[in-house]
Amino acid sequence: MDYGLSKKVDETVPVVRWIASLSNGETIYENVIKDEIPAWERLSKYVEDHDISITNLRLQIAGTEVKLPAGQQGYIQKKVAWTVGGTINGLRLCIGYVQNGLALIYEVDENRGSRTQRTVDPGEPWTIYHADIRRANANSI
Amino acid sequence: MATVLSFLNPSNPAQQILPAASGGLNTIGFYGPGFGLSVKVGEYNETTYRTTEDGQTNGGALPNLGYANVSGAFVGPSIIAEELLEVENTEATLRVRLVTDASVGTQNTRFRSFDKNDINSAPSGVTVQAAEIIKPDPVRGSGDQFWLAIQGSGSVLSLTDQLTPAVQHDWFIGLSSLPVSIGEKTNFAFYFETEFL
Repeated sequence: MDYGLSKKVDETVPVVRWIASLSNGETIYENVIKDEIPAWERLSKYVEDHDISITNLRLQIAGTEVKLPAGQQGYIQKKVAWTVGGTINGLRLCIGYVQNGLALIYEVDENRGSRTQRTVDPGEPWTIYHADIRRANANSI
Repeated sequence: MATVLSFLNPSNPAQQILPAASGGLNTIGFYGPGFGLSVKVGEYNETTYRTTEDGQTNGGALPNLGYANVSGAFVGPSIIAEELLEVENTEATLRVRLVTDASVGTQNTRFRSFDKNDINSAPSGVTVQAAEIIKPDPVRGSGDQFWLAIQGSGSVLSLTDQLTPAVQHDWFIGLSSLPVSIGEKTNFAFYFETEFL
């Protein structure tokens, strides 16, 4: 099955991107394929199908990098589009991780370059959990 | 194409409320019986227009919703209230459209009014009522049954998750505004945010 994932920087990989390291030694770069589901969803399917985990997650933006601690229970990635009035006024890029029942999210505003971090309930449907946790959850159902 | 988030006329998506900083037709104006006419203190708007920040330029009418009671609205010029659940998408005050390159789902979508300075601060001198409208067809709607008075971060309208992947998502929002004191109210604006992958 072709997951459409980029294992190196190619024409589908944007300048602002997340980069995931996987337990099988691969590195996956966020890519954008028109009309295709987001790379994070494709990555989620890929790690599930191959019973592997994300071991590290980074966000590269405007020459800087946000790097999360390795070996967490789960990793989160999302974007927040916001506007005052009309047309896009900003995009916040968010990466985070789940550990001990809490998720720590780092948000970077694409235009302002400002960074914030906050702790939230880990009930994020888009979290990709470690394979051990996925297996444990599957067995408990 | 990058991610684009727009405020549009629900019944005419080609008519856009411009970005806040543009200085053009960037404002939703609430009026009395017609453009430029004041809303009486303690009463809700009777008309709604796209206008400039000073409210002096008529940029075209937007669908008008007037607060009637906790679960009802006057649609357009009607003097008979309808249930919010019977209001159609194209009768809402505002359409917010997200367009993305990838086909995404959305969650944690929120809409708030604020004082133009700090998105956490409520606007002063006005009460703003808001409700999500979801009624694309003749079937009874599935949006909000009740109005919510939105005030900065203290009271925020949560909009329905749209988790089915798509390159375009639309939300329809009904708005109605009441001045609580005499004088033009220009220090309020609307903020919208949504999460996607």
